[in-house]
Amino acid sequence: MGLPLRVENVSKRFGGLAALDGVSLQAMPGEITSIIGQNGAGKTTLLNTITQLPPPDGGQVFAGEVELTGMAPHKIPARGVVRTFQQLRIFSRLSVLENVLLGFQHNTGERLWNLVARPGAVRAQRKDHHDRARGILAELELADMLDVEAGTLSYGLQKLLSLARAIATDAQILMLDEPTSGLSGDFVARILAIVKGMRARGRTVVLVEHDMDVVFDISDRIVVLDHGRLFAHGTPAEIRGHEGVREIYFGSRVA
Amino acid sequence: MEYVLSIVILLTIYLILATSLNVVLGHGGLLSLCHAGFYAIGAYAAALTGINLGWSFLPTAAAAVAIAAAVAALLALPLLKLRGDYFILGSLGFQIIIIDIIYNSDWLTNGALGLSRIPRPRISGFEAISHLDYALLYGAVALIAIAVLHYITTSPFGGALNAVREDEVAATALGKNVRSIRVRAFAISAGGAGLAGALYAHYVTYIDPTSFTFTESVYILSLVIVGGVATTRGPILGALLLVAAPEMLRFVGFSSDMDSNLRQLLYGLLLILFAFVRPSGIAGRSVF
Amino acid sequence: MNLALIAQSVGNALATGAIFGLMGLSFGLIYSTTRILHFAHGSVYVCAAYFFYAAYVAADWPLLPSAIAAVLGAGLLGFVVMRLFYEPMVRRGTSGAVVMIASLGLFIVIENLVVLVFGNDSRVISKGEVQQGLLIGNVYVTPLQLASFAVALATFAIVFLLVTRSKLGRGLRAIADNPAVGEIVGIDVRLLNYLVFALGSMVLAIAAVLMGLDIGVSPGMGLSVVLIATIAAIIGGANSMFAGIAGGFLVGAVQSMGVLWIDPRWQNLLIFSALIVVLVVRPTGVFGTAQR
Repeated sequence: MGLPLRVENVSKRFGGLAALDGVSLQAMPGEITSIIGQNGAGKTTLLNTITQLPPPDGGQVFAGEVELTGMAPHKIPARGVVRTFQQLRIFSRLSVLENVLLGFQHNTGERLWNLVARPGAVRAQRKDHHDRARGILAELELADMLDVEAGTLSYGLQKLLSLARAIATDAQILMLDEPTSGLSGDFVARILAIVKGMRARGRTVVLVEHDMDVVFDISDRIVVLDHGRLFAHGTPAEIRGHEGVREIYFGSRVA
Repeated sequence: MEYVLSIVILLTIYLILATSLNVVLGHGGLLSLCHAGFYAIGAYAAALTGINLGWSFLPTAAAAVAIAAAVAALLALPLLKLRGDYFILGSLGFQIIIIDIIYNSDWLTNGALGLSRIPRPRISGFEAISHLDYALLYGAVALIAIAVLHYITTSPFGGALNAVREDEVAATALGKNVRSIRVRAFAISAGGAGLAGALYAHYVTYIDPTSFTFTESVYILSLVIVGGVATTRGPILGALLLVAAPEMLRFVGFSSDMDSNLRQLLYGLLLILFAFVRPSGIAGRSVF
Repeated sequence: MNLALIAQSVGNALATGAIFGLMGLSFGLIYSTTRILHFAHGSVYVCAAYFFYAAYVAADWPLLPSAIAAVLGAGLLGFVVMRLFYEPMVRRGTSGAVVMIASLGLFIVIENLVVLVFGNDSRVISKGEVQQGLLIGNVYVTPLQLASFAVALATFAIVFLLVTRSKLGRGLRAIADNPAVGEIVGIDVRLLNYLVFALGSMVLAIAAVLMGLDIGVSPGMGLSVVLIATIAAIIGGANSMFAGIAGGFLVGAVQSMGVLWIDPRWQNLLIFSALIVVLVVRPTGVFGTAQR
């Protein structure tokens, strides 16, 4: 059922700068794989290249047996791979409900032909999507804000909404870019509970996160990037004990 | 009475024009200035198939919709590569190119002289002759067109179109094919304009290129901006206000010579007023 | 095809190109620095031409004072349009599309006000002096064409010196590169915006005077002028203040030389197709450099 993510030797250059240089990694279903590294280490670029927006210059990305590299970026979510954005990118002038509805894949009603030829099927699926969207929002305690314009929500609620939208895609591989940054303790706890819930459902969770307490608390595996290269990888315990990581990444700070 | 009916007929045409422009302008967030070009294509398609092939109303209207939509899909290929100001300028360029081609293709369109003796609308036994016939037929067509466009813009397709307007990257990351959605929206919108063109051609029975110029595009734009973007009731309200209301000026007694200038002055002022005070229009969503 | 005909076309292309170059420069100055799609620029042209008509024909002033009055009047109009019309919107962060819509509205309002004041007929701006054409080599030119060309070149030179040598010009180039940086370095961006609107409008007024003497003026001319100005500036290079000059000569060349090979009625089609090709294929313009 689960879908592993495999990244092989991926590179990306911007002008003369190598943002990613031959990075390989694997993330497994039912696990949280965290990617850490300093600013500019290539974490977000890695998520971008996995979802082909923009595609990498070299290397390959696989979701299970399916190769994602070379695929049009809008076809990636239907293959079970979805990411969130650090800048959220919620549809700020659409309602909370509309935002979540846009997450559903294989939407019959997005094809004009179906609107004409199969209005019944469109209506039925629409009702199903509405019910599921309400369910997801209820689970995230957003049920009483269905019709609120998303852009007017507080930052924390917007972050929850971006997760709700990702959950609606029903993707097997979920990549979350800084889901807790800028949030207070209460929201961090709510969001971490959601992330753990994803893992419990057998999803492959990839987490880009800068809060080391969170990373070491929640991760099953940790991947360390440094200047676009894979610097180290292993379990939290292994990374904690890694001399080089302590030196380069944590500096004088004791993890 | 005849006069009131003639305004109603005009109103049905502008209701369709405004509602169809709203698909790209409001829901799609693309400021297109070539809507009158597609209006022209529909008018000429209906006129030519009616005059030369003797087609009745339903086939000519279908031809008008199909040809306008097809041309739009073709033009969308280069046009939708453009963003922001460049999209506006590109659409303006196409507006002028379309009218220029119509103007200069004497062999087909009779150029500046225009096409006359366009048949009145016939549907099997029925032929629209009186103003009342026209008002009833066109009223029904406009109602259907608005209902169809409402169905499309509130469908999941419409939702995706609105999402693309809000954030192309996020929409792509959720699996929406941004380009394809926009091309389809552009074609639907042009199809609506084509339908309005068919109604116009069969009503006035004489058309020439001057009815479909850039100024006309701006006029249609002002209906949507004033009424409101990205809602169904916005463009309807705009057409009611700007097409029907100024006709009342006539009763106040302005000379017919100054009439059109005063009317243009009015909608120019309204465009400015709404841009300053309420860019989403009277009953629109905030989009720009 | 005979050589004389080609020489004559080149002559015409240069004469038309000079006027179009003024238009392209005027739009490019404004667009490259403020990024406002100033559609009402066409109205500024029409107003300038009617200012000139009012002074030169109606009030019977001599030529030079009339021209100066028209240019200053247009400069003031440009200043006012930026100060009272665009700036309040720009300051509120109104989106470019809405500013463009407002600009269209202003264009329509001014055009129709002009009709209400001056009527819809076109006016000849001439005092009946007969101009003898002259032959330079095989090329027939009118004194007005020669004078237009000289005035246009002089204008290009003056604006170029103003922008490259003066403090004002350095500020303009700074905000054209990046308005935010201009703000940080302590440049008064607002003042520069007023000045560039005034300057662009004055350059356009020179074109209005020259073209007015040639073909007169009518209220409906604004649209074709703003289209030529925009196309010249965009084809030349939207990021550059001066590429509009080159763009203007290019459009002038297409219009005058095109006659040799293409039925003149397809000129518009050719020019607008060129605009779309440039927008799609080379958005930085034929002569522009990539920046921002």
